[in-house]
Amino acid sequence: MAVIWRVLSETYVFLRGLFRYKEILFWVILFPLLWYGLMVAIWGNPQANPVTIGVCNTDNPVNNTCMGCILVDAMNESGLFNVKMYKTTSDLEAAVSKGKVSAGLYIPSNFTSNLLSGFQGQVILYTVDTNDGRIASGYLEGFLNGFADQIRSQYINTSIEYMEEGNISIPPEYYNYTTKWLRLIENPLKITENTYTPPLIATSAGIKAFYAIAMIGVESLFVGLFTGVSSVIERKREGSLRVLLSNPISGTEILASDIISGMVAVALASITVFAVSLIVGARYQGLSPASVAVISLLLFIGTLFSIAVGLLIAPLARTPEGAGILANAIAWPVMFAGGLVVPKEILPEWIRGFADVWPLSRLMEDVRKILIYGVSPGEALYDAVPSIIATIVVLAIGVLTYRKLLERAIEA
Amino acid sequence: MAIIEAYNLSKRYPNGYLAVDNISLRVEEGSITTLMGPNGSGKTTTLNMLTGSLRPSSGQIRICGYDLWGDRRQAVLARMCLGYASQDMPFRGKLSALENLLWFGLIRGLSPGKAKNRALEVLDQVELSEYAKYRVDKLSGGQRRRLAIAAALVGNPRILVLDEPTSGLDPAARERLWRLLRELSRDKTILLSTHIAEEAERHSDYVYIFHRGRIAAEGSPRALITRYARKSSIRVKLVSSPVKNLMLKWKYYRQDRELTIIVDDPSSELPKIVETLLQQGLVLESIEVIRPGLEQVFLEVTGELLHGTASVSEVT
Repeated sequence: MAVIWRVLSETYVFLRGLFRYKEILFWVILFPLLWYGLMVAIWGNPQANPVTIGVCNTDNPVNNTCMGCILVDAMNESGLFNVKMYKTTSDLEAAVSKGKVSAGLYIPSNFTSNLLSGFQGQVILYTVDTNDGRIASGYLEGFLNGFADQIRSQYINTSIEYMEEGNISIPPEYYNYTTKWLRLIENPLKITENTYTPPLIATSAGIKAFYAIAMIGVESLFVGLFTGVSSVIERKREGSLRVLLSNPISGTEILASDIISGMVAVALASITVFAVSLIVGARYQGLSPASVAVISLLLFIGTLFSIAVGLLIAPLARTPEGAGILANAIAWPVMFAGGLVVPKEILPEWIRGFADVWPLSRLMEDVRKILIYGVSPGEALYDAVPSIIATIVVLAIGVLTYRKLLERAIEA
Repeated sequence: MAIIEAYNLSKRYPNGYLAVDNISLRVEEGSITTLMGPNGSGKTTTLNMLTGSLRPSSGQIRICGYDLWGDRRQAVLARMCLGYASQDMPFRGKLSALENLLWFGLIRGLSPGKAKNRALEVLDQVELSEYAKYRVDKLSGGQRRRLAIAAALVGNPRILVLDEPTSGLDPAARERLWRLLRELSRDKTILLSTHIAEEAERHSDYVYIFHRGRIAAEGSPRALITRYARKSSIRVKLVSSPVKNLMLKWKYYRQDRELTIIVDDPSSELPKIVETLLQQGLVLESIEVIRPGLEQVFLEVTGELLHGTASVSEVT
């Protein structure tokens, strides 16, 4: 009997402590709930997410009728597509090739006139040879076929009206025209497919590169957050804060030493991941001294942003354990919702918005643009300007928060 | 010349607890000065304020003539002047002794090369050269304490501040540490805290006796003893707690099962004391004669025993 009590003693302590120790409560209750909520939010909705489609519509209206415009309106109203309009085919092609849209549709200028004159209305479909791209083009093809059904039905109604008016016998001179008309009814739309295969992303080498960059982003996120959040509280616990403060080192220098060691950790992790990814077959584009410099800068800023966020939330933690919980509570959802480890295209629209504004996500997206889509370092750097500004602002507030926290530690 | 000066120093924590209450102290250059008192008497709080890691609520501190809590320049110069070893130094257990000292050297602003040279020097000074490459978590308690002193020495400060340097060490390790401190005191000023009266008495040039956040007495050990504790005492440990009102003709203090009886001449009065106690039905466990010392001084000036937290009653 004594053995049973002994083996149950830990369970007793655990249950007694469940609602008294926040960290236990978090790991046992909140953490699984948080994950459950996140998963349900992302994957739980059976309704398909809108697919981002690029459209270039150059259709000229005939007698105030614009079949191309009707097609685009129908796409918008369907709820299936998030339509982005482009003025030229080259803009559309660039958007498809850089992954800004999952598929593209070009509607030529004679689309309406062809359809109204007994010719096939032609469209060009730009697809990307990736899972995401194939899904998007499948959606689009299905939609276009539905649109063709509508046209077909309209033409049949017109033919019936024509017959009802007593024009049943077809004069020989109209025979060819009638035949053509009937063939049009059979297949009113001609879809020409242009499959665009970007150099990397569709390949195994590209996917390996994608996840290597993902892991570097995750490392930057975790190291940064933990560095920031535990900068004072951990030192206070282990006693090194008192020793440091008795030395000729300022608070800012202590913070800088933390930031640098965090950066070194991220750099080492990045080099390791990058090297291993090359060994397992990842392939990168645009590697040059300039791109390496820009990528390093983007990573530096991304880590700095995570550290700044850690500094901002640090006052909420009363113990190093609490600091760990806080960092985890932010890092894990951001890892997914920020599009670091999953392509943001597969995220629901509302979460995708978060990935679009979270500076680290944007910066890692810029790294991907250079290494996977071959965007020039200058262009990526230009794209990173808002993230850099956001990082500077958040860091400034973070440093002020850190100083207050340090001051509080010196006071007590 | 005073190398450390503190005036009207107080520390009230944000929770309202007054840990140090308006104390002033001076540490002469080249001396070994001890802050002596029981746990919770304000020694460590005072040391933390004197080393710049805890801001005083009021008062002023000058280290080597620089205002420790003044502007950045003064604060840096003051801190350059001192080396601090806390009771439990935050060494990285899995790094070697040398690597840890290198880390402290870098904190002091030494270049890696200089830090290494200095680390090797101080390791030699504290007789740990042969353990330079040992992981710190493999070192003994005494070795870790000596390493802590080495860490405080890395920056070659004029003042060494040591918080309870011998606490938890066995007598041999303690003796070795004191020998080291004695050697170091040839060219360093040493300020330390301890709750061991015998050590403070033997090794200090000057002692501040702390009691409930205040300085209860100060002076050289000899002067303190002469002034406050000319008499010896007999410490009797009983098998069980005595009744509250013992009938003794000597002045005595009581804590749990321990009686401290103040006597003029222990050799003549010891048999009488034993006889009296036995007559009152008490069973004795041990008897110890204590010559006049700082422990008696503490007892005299505070009315409490240096060790233990239980209340002490006095009967004359």
